Amino acid sequence: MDKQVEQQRLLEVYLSNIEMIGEGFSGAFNARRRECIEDFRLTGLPRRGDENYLYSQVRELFPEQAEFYFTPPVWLEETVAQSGSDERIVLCNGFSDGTLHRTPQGVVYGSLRAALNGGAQDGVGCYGSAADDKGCALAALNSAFMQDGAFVYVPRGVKAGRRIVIDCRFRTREQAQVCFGRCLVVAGEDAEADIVLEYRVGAGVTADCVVEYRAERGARIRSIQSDEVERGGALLSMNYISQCERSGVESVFADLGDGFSRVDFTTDLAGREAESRLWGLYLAGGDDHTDLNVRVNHAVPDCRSYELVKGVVSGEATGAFSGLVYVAPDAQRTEAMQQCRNLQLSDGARVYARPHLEIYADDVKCSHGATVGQLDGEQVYYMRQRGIGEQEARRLQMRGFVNDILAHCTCERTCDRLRELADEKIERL
Amino acid sequence: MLRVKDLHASVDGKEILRGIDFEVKPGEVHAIMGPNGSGKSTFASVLTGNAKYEVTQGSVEFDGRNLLEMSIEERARAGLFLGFQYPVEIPGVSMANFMKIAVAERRKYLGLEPLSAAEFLRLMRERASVVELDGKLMNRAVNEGFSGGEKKKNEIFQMAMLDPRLAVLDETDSGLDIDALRIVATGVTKLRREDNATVVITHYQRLLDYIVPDFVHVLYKGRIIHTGDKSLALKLEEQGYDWLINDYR
Repeated sequence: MDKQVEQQRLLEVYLSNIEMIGEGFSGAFNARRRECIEDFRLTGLPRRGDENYLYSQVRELFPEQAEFYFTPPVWLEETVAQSGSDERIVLCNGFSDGTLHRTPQGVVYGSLRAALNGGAQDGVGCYGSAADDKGCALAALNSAFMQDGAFVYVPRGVKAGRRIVIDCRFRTREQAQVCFGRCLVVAGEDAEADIVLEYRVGAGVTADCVVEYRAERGARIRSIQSDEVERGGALLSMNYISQCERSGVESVFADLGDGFSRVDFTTDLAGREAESRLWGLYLAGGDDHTDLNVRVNHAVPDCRSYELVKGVVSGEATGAFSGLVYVAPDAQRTEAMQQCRNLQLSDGARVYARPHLEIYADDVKCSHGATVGQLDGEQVYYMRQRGIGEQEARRLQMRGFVNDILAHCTCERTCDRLRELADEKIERL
Repeated sequence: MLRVKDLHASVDGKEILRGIDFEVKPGEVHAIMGPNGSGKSTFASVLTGNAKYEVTQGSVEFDGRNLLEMSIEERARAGLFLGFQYPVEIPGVSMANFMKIAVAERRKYLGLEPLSAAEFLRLMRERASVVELDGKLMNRAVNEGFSGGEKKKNEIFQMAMLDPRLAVLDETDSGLDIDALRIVATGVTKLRREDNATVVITHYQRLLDYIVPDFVHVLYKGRIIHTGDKSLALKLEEQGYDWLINDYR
């Protein structure tokens, strides 16, 4: 059937390259791939009208002529050499340079491929535990195809100190290309991990990326994710966060690119008194497409979650937010707050906001809300009355709106960079 | 400095200002009083160019220029300042940043060099002291979380920063306690010079104890129906507006 053509093609590509994909990995690992491709086959690519993909048509991101490569791109070496700075993992079309580093404190970071194939003992066992079996075809596809990626492990009690930057670049010359990016971040008991994840996706690339975060008991993870997708490029970013007792994960997410971006954050609060906080931002103009999905599962009592998402959408762009807070039947004393606020700058811009609560426990404090508004005319008037030009006043107001989110970046350098990117993007809105 | 002739303005087709004649010369302080709904705030808004109001007749000349042809920001850069009755909160935009841009625009208009970061900070500190405004507020978002008194002080602080030719203060005294009122009013008086002017819109004579006006005007139904000196304010405080309104009728 014509409807299944993209899916069929992906299966064929997998089957005809199965040996190259699995090369260097253990039999058990490759058996797992086969389970994942089977999951993918059964679930299938999201169809039009799929509840979880109402605003994003992902099938067209896997065109028939798209290429797949199973070896690192030629530009990897040069890119790694240029990036230079330490505590940075560079991934080029999903591939690293294969090295794994170990700091004196025992922090391990570098190639996921190396880590999975004997380079690391601790932490690697978490691979796949958060992402697999979630019923997500795109994540299953990633698990089947992935050959490398980034790995970060912070052992028990260690405060990593410096941030580890995962620099994910995707690009292609002319031909459309499908790439896979994979990361695993594990913070051991009472450990602290600071991660900056930078996605740069060039035109013509569809990047299917999965990141798993695992916070053991009492661990803290702070992550900042920035997406810069060029026009004509597409990022499918799936983040799975699994949290144990008393752990805390803070994520700042900013989509500041010009292309197609579909981002999922799925958080499992599986241990008591775990806390999850997310600040999300998308700026979309022209014919950009940005779709953010946040799901928090309160599986046990006494956990807290907080999400604030802000979007500015102009031109003919689409900005979509879906949020779900799920509270399991015995997850008493849950506190959950979810807010999505949007500015719609033009009539042609489309904003979809769907905040959901699904609550099966009775002793909870949950709130959710979504707003779509315009720039405040009173604020613009006030600024103009002080001599600030109208355009500038509008931009200032947008910057102010956006600042609320970026102010939560704990890393000053990243924060400055994001502000700069946001300013540039605002100029284009 | 400011010459208003036969100014008519309306909002949603309803005429609010019905022929205002008004003149301000450098060094003067004018008070505009009048009952609720007489058009005082509308007059201030029309002067600043608020798009909500449509000028249907008349002319306004400001330092020789046709004010009505200028945009809101051009008027501000040329030195027309409005102290808002309800100062607006601008989330995420810090006071310091806001003022930096505003001051730069005003200086550019005046043909002055931009201030260095150090000069700007010094200016900000110095001018904040005019109204005893807490310097910490400079790092906060514009008016966000400011108390009522702080908001009004902040208006006068901005006035001090921008050094306008003509300041129109729209009920700057409303909602202020005695101490804040004294601070705000003293601030305005300190900023008074021979080459600038102030128009104070107020309901109460109290403010005029501190900001002594040269002229007091009574606005009623969109017209100035009476002009006197500072003693008029005292008389209005005692007797209300009825005697004037009855005369006018």
